Amino acid sequence: MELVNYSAMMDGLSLILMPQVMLSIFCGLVLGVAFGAMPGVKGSTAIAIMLPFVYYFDPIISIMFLSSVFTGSNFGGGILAILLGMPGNSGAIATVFDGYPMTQNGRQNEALGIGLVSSAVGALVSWLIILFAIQSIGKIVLLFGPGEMLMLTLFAISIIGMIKGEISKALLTGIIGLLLGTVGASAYGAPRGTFGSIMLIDGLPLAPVTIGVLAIAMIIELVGKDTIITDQENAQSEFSDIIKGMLYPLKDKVNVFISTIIGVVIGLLPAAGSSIAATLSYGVAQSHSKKRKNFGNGEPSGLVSAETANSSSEAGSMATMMAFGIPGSGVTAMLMAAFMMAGYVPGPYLVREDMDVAYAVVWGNIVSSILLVIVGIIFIRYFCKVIYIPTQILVSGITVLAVIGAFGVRSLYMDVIVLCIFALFGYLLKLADYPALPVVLGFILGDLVDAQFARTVALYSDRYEILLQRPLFVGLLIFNILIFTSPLIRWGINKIRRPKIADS
Amino acid sequence: MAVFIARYALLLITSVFGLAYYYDIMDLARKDKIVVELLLLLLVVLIVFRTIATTKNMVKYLAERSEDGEKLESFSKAVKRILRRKEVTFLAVTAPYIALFPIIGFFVTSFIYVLVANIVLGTRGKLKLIAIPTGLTLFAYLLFGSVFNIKLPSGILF
Repeated sequence: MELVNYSAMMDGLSLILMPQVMLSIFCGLVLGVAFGAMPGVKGSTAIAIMLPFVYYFDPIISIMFLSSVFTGSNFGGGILAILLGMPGNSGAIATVFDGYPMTQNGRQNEALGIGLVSSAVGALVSWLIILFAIQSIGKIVLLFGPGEMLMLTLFAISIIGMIKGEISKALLTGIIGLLLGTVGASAYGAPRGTFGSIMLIDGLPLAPVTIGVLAIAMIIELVGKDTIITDQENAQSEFSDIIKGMLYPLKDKVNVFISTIIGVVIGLLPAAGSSIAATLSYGVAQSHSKKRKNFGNGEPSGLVSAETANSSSEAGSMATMMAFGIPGSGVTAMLMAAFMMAGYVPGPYLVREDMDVAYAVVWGNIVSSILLVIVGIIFIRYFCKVIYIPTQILVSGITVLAVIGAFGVRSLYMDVIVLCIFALFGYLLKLADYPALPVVLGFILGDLVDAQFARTVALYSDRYEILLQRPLFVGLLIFNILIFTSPLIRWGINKIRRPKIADS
Repeated sequence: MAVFIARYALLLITSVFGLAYYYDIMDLARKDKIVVELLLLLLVVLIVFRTIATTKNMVKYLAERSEDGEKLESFSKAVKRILRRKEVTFLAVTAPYIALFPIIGFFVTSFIYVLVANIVLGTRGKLKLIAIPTGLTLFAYLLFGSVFNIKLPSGILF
């Protein structure tokens, strides 16, 4: 089989080059960004809401519309993370690390510009990679078994240690998050940490926990201030600041390239998700940056890596869904439903029989990545003014939206109670000067670690030597050992060096 | 002093959570609890470490304060100072809202909540005080209630 089917590629392009398709992409992006920038409204929710409306549309138009809602909501989640410190989706968590400190320092326009172009470039480059690699994706995905996935998840967890502040505080809150992530049925079906409640059998709900710990806790803290930013007089207010931010990712080419590759590869792996892609990429960017000490304090490179990987993982997850019929996340499951509604069954059959459709989706997303810049500029021109709204108006408004976000997903009052408990917990963390981000990071990754660990044990129990014959696993294992022991090694080196310096 | 009270409260809550979780998984099969047990073990180590660190820092802080001749704030005064903060007022307004919206109805309660929260937190001007809650409630009703069709509690009023 040839690697690239050029005739299908051209057929796919012709399917996309129609005004109706372009219009559907534009409308999808507008709705996606608007939905994504609302607290508690995830990409999957936005697509689920839109799914019935596109039932009677032409197949390509409906698929491209929903796919653009996905792209837009990804960027919208980043807007929320940058301006208010609350990740609009799990993939935007690493965006908070440097995006929100930039806003607090009055650099919100620049941060939004960086976020926009990083998202657009990440998506564009990743879809171009998929365009030429869609037929050979299977080989990459098959290299990753449960053991390798466990190692990748562990690496993502190591980011907790890189969060600014005292490491023991970050580790403590990270462990709390990991424990919260394991609440619910275990991989073998036994209930854990549910304390007899049937409502917790699926685990703690993601939106209420995330909104509570980060958003509401931040809102409570905002009550004592006049506005979000500390120095309003020196805050950026010009459009040129947005442009300045937009140009930054274009200068940070190596970071963008590495983050895109990480995003695509992680996105290809079923169930890995954008949160792992973004945190992994952030960790890698921090480790090779000359300004690594600025990470966590509003370093633009940190924001570039997080947003680029977040958006490029979308291309990877879509490619796996199309090539294998495996939806790696809630959003891709929704998009898979859209494909099926349109009469196409994602999987090997789609790639073999309807390759032109698969290529049309790839082309459509390339167009969507470019259009995202235009739509994004329109939105951030207005969104950047959020920081000037007096906090007394902002806090009550966001609280009402957060309650809707928590309640709306399952229509359960218990989710609002969960929101309140975690809001108080998040506020207590702030009062005690403990970082709240590791809780959310651990919470998202806890369930994944547990699931991958159970799969690895089930597959390799009593014959773990097989794992050591897998080069990728061994490589990732060594890498993880180095990462987790590096603080100890650094501490040891410093201990040895210090007496020598004292002697000299 | 307030920061130390918050730190001890956090460590206490975390310990209680860890203990409760441990008792909940005690009877499970090994394969179901091995990851949780490992995490709980790490949690215990970190709680002990942080308790020692917090106590050391507090002793140091108290010693510095007494050296400078500053009067130490009593525990009850520190608690009172925390309770007088604007954040606590906000929480006091928000708690009834959360408790009452399933009974009275989401939109009515939200309107009253936004109005009261704005008054308490310092928004002035009749127009603002009418426009903000009305605008927000209408926005929530039209977008989430009508377009998204999210069934928000209607309660006894609306």
